[in-house]
Amino acid sequence: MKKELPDIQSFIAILEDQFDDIAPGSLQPGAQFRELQQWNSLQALVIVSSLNWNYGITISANELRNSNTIHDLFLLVTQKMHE
Amino acid sequence: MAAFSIPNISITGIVASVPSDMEDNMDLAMLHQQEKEYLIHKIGIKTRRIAPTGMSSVDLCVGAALALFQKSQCDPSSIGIVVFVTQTPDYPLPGNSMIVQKKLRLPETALFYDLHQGCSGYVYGLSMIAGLMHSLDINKGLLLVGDTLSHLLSPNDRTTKPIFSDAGSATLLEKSPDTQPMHFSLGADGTGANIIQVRGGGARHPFDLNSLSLKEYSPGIHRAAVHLTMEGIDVMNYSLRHVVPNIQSLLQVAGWDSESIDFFVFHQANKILNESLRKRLDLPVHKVPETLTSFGNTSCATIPITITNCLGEQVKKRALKLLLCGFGAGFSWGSALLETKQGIACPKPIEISMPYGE
Repeated sequence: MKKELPDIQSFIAILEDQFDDIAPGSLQPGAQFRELQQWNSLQALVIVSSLNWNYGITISANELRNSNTIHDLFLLVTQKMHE
Repeated sequence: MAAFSIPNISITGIVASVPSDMEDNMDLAMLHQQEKEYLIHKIGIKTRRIAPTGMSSVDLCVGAALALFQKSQCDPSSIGIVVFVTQTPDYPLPGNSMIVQKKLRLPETALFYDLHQGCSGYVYGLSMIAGLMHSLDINKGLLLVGDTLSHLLSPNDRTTKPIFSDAGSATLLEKSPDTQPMHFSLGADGTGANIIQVRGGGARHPFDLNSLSLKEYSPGIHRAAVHLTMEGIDVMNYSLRHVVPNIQSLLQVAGWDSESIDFFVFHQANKILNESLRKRLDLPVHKVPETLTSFGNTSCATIPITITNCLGEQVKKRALKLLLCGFGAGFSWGSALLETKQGIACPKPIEISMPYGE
């Protein structure tokens, strides 16, 4: 089921919540998530799972590979919610 | 095919087996301490069972079958059909089912089938053996389900090494006129064939001098063509897309209320995926037993491992309504609804320490 379109702040808050040691408010839209020290294949699975649960959309491994910044991910999610 | 039902066949015993050798994810040299703790917390797998070189799915399943015959007081000569489910057979040919004919002293006149299925294999095998027993009027059947996927893993692949584990199982089925029908719903989506795959060593990409060459796919991940690869994100997406509606439609077609089911026994993939499925189906934690922590992802054997490890005492005391669901390589999935009989043999998983040999 698809849910309410997010704003960028609430979207980032959900992402931050998926990391064990990232303080709320520390991620910026332009941040390249793959450059984060905590990023790895397991963290990617955690993020995609949380986006599915929170927004009712699925992001494939390829779609994630083609995204670089937090803002790219936000646009991908909102686009999928519009479909 | 949509859902279908098979009457008058019942499970009368289950034994699962694991290698006695154990690995702890806290001992993984490829990860830092913090990464190990995070990984165990998130995927839910602490220890895995590893078959030593030379121990095969036949060894694990034969060990389970011998214990099953003893526990359920079944004479091997009464078995009319064998289905062996594995993706790690002892040899490219012949199939495992013929090999166990000799080892278990099963009748030459029985039927012997091999089924090449992964994590959905227990449900696929159950439907196959129950369907053949019903249609051919066979009194007793032996379902053997097991894999040694650890033998297909790169030691330098953090996406697979901490997850997969080895196990076997043996399930006895009997004709039983007074039992509830088993209900099944199976499916496959070949667009997901590459999301869990061993690309090299088969007919499409035959084994050659380069098959064992390690290549770096991303930092810290090295694999050869003969190693298993898994795209975890896509496995989760395919599972959510296919498994949830499969279970919901089976319940509807069979006319079973979700609340009337005692336990939902899922394939044990990883905690992230299994929790996503549980929450999507709105199931309480106490109705969804797990064995990821101790046994990891044992491919097709996770369902019998989970039944025997978590539900053995209850299965002995009373009849249980179970939903079984497997999903994985293919991409394939299968769900079954069945009622166990009270008092069936269902001991805790046994340990196998030595291969039985050829």
